[in-house]
Amino acid sequence: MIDRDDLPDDEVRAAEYALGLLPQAEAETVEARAASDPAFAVLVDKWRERAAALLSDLPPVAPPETLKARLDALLDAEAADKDEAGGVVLLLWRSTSFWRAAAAALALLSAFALIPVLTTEPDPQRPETIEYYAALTPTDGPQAILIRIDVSDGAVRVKAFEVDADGRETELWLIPEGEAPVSLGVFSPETDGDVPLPEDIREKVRAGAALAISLEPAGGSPTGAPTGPIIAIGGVNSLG
Amino acid sequence: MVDGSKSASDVAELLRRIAARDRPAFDALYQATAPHLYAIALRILKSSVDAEEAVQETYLKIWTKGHLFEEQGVSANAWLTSIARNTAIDKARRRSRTERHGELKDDLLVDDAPDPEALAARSSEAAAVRACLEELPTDRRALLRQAFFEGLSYPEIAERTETALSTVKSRIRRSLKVLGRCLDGAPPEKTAPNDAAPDGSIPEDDEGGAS
Repeated sequence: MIDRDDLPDDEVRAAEYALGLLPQAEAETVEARAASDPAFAVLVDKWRERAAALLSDLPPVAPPETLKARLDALLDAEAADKDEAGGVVLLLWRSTSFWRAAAAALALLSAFALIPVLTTEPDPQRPETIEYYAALTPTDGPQAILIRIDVSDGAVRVKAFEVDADGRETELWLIPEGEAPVSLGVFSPETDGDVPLPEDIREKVRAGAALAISLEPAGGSPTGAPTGPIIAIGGVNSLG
Repeated sequence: MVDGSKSASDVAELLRRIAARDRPAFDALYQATAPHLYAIALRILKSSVDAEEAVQETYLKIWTKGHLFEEQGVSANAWLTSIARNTAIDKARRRSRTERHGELKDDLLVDDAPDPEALAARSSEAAAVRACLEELPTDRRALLRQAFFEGLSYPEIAERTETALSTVKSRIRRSLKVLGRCLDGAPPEKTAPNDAAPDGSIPEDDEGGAS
């Protein structure tokens, strides 16, 4: 009654692909075949539906209401930013857990949540352009504040936002994955402006990195590390 | 997935409107599907904070990639749930890279199929998959579910269970064949949910017995 297991037949191949059991290279082989073999594609789709059924079988759980409020704020901010950004499609991701280790070291003052965002330029004529967005959303309010990082031209564009800096300056930090914060410099939050992104750290702006804003004495942190309260922090993520 | 007020075709229509940047359609889709996608993220990430982030990212992907749905040959449900699963699994992988999770070996033997009482209002496809999974020996069913929800590939399962890759493949492929035959054929006799013990343990079927 037990089947022999020789080379997988198409049915099994489609199943193991749809359930995510194949390593990347083999999965790509299956995708390529499905793209050129309609009969096989039918099998793959059938098993994708079955995989979905497995997911659908979980009892639903109502998400926190703050989630929808935050999504609304982000989409509002995107809509507001869209004209200026030249129609760039905006994708965003808020992080609280990913940078938890970094945040602990930075004595997080959680007045804001920072929402970093990656956009991929949909224009096929500019395939290399990858921009990252960050949006600061006060946890208790709907207004989002955007930070856009353009890796190609090395500019971090910070949209104006309101902050009670109490005479101190706002300083922007990049926290590469697994590394100490790197200062990107002080900036004025009252107006939209650019903070330069040094060339040698551009490659570190990617999924896994975090951004943070701290309040510092005039001229910026004297120590090279954040000394004042962190008013916003969050991770950068790629979306695939 | 889309039990309640929205039918599957309603959700597909919402996705088409979302592709045209229709915010009310997005709101309606969220209302209809968020509890399901949140459940998926929770199951995979086992953390409400992480699951919330994953679901947020999932809906932002839906918002920006809604136009891709039409190109897929699958249902709206399959498209949405796969985005939710992939997003949560990506997040779990990032997290495990930074936090050094322990071995999953023991987890692999736990069958965490949903409580029968919580299975009201499931789609017929979900019911069929669940019923056919029951055709598998308990440990094989648990392995398959766990691999799927953890996003583990064959080599990763082999590594974590300290089992030869060929053995892992042959076991799982055998399970997939049984599952596929069951799903293609007449649905098996549905056992009453009460046949499963209340503690979640499920009687082994014949194939699970010692041979």
